[in-house]
Amino acid sequence: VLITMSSDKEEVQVTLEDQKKINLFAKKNGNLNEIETELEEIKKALQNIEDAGDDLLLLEDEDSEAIPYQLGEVFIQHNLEETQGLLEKEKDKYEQRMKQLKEEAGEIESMMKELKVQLYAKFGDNINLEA
Amino acid sequence: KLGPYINMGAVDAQVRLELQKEFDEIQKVQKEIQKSAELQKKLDSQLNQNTVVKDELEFLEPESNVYKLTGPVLVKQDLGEAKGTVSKRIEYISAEIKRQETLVADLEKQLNKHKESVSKIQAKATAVAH
Amino acid sequence: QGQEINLTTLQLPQLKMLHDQFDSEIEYLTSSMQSLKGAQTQFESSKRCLLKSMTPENEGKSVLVPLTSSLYVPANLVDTNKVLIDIGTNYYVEKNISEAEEFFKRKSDYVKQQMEKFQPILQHKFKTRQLIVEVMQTKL
Repeated sequence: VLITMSSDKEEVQVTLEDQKKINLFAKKNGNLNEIETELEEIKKALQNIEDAGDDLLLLEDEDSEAIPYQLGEVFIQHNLEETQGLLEKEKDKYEQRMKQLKEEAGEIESMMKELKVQLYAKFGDNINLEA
Repeated sequence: KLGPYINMGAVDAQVRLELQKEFDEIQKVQKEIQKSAELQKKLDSQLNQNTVVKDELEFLEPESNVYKLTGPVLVKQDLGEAKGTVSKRIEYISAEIKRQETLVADLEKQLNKHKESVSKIQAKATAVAH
Repeated sequence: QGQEINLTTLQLPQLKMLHDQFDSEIEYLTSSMQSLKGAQTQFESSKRCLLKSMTPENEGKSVLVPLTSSLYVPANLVDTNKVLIDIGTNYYVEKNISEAEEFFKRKSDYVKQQMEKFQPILQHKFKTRQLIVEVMQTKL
């Protein structure tokens, strides 16, 4: 998001209130970017979990008894059912987090929209708050 | 960095507009070149890593146990399949690298064209100003 | 760059630019060398660890396994002849002790080779940068 102010139009006073709003807008935009980055990572993780699930189905019976599952720095072996259960649990955890992040993002977006309305109302063409 | 070498005040607004347009294009193309350079660096590193893996797989006896970490799961792989997958990755990455190289060569041609335009416009403007 | 430049023909600002360029190249090479050295240390340490702990006498012995860098759990060493090695791009391979030892030696040698390749280049850049500084001083 580019926030620019031009000075070659009519003189408009920037009050402390205005500056606070502009700073808040920039900060919220930063938060939004962080959320988007995390959402991207979660998307990748969910894809990996799905791929893992698919790959598991292709395993030979003999290999399905002791499947190493990563826990911190170690791998703990589980059978196919248990492994699939663990994957489901992780998938749920990620989907929960994703929902939470999307809600937060929604709140931030409406706050930013409101700030835009106020700032454009006062400064009009003198300010640019677009991505 | 190209900058105006003439007294802009003495120059036609039209010329100023043309120059600005060319400068904007130059900046745009330079950004694209930069982006491609960064991507190429990443691709080179991936190519390296995959080649290392390919070589390591060659050292293995056919009955060796190979695993691929997908998400949190270590899934057993067939050695032949693993070799195949890695070879394909290497092919794909190499092709991508070539594509980027072609793209950059193209972009640099564009860059030169714009730089020439700027020179022409400036030359014309200086001639007129006198 | 294959062109020869006579440093004395350059002006001070150009010399400064060249100096800065060498500065950043040296910084980059030095940090790469450090990474290589770090990797070599790790491979050597893995090899030593392997040889010391994965012996038939230690079969069945109890160990503390790190779940994270600050959390350990008790376990027993089962099968001291097999290890699982990360060979890159998410591929892991099971090896016996002697194969694993060979692997770490291979990696360590490769990294050493790379360092030996870049050391003279780094030296040369240091010398050249020094030369530039000397020429710059004559122009002050």
